[in-house]
Amino acid sequence: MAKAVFNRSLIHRIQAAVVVHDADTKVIVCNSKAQELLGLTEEQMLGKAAMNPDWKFLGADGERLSLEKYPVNQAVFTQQPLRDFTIGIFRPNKSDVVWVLVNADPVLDDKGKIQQVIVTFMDITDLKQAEEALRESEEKLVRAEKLAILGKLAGVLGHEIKAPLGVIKHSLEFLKVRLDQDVDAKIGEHLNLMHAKLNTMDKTIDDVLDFARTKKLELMTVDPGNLVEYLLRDIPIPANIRIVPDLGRNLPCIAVDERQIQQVFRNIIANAIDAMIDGGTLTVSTGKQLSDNAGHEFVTISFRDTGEGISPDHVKKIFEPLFSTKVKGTGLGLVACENVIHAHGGSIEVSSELGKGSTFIVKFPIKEN
Amino acid sequence: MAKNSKILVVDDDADTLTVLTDLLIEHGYDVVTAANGVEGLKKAKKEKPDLALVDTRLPKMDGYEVCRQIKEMKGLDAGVIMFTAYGDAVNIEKAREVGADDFLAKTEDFANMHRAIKKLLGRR
Repeated sequence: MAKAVFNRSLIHRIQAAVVVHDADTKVIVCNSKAQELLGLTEEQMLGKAAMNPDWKFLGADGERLSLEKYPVNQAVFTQQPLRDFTIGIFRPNKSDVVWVLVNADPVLDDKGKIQQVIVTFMDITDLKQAEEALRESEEKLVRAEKLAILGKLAGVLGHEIKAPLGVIKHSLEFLKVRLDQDVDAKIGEHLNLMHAKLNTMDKTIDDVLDFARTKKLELMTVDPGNLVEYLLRDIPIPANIRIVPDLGRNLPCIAVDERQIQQVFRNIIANAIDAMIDGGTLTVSTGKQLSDNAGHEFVTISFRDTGEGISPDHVKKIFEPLFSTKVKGTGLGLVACENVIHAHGGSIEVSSELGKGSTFIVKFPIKEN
Repeated sequence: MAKNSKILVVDDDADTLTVLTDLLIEHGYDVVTAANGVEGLKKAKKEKPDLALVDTRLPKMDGYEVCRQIKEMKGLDAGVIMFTAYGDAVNIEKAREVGADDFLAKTEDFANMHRAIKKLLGRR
């Protein structure tokens, strides 16, 4: 009896979390640290098997952990110790995830049959968050390097291609003037074709140059509802697309470079139209949102289409320079949009479901009086 | 017979000079050319053009300085159109500051370029 009390006292004093399961994976012992990390009381945990739906874990990749991957189940199945397995724990009534490093040791009897599984785990949330911050800063660095290279490339395009393009175009125009009097219709057709294609090339180069240029913001205070309303009034929309404005009134004003932001919205709308090849509905909404972190308030402008949607893999990459889901996309449009929005202190995010459509939400800080 | 308007084209790219010269002559203008900024100023002083087309990037003296000096040149009242591969807001602002009357991209349709030329010559 004294030994059992001693063991219980010892287990509860250990700073690592300890949970002991029986052969059916039911919890028979759990110490204070385990209760703290799992967000459950001893009464709530004792007798609970691994398959109980109250346990909610994430894998290291952030995806929901399948039942067979639960540490206790792995140890039961393999009858081998599990070492340094990372999982995230969803605790009841808490929004944040606790990340832990888990070890699980099966205790076998003389015949090699499982008697117990001792699971120990340590809180590595701070470490995980530091790793995440490092990963994010590395991604930002890679992105900045990509943008710098694109900037240089744009410079080369501007000087080394646009100038000769001008020569070719003017040379062609000279031929058209000279041949205009009695030109063969077919020759005229080909000259016009070359002229049109040169203009297309010129436009593509301008798009790259536009992307690479850092433009100074000319901020003015605007009503978000009016901003969107004016835009929707003069944007060409194909007949098979329905635009549904859902504009909140009396929203706080925002400080934006109207010309640049209208270009951003035009780009987002053009993408939405491209995604609805067989027609559909684009709902443009404005609203107000309280941010999660510092408590700042934002005005949101969202564009929800009923198009083909974007796969989760592509959603992750959608703001990467040179990434495009379109056959003829340059992969610069959304990056340029994001740059402009960030320059305003805002943000852009996307959610999408294949076959159902995508929603782009742009947030701007509310202008303080 | 009315005298043709004289246009000075300043660009270090020989092909650009050739094609613009041919197009301008074809449209009834007299054309003089220069391949760098210093030569451009000398030709402006000697030839007294009615209008100058000046590239922003030039050897020896950049196009903005050429524009500024042409605009300040005594006895000369030439319109200046600057043209460049870099038609961004910063360059346009810079061109305005040195007194350029217009700013065009090198790939602009000649029809638009000609419209700008006629507009400036019509003001004289």
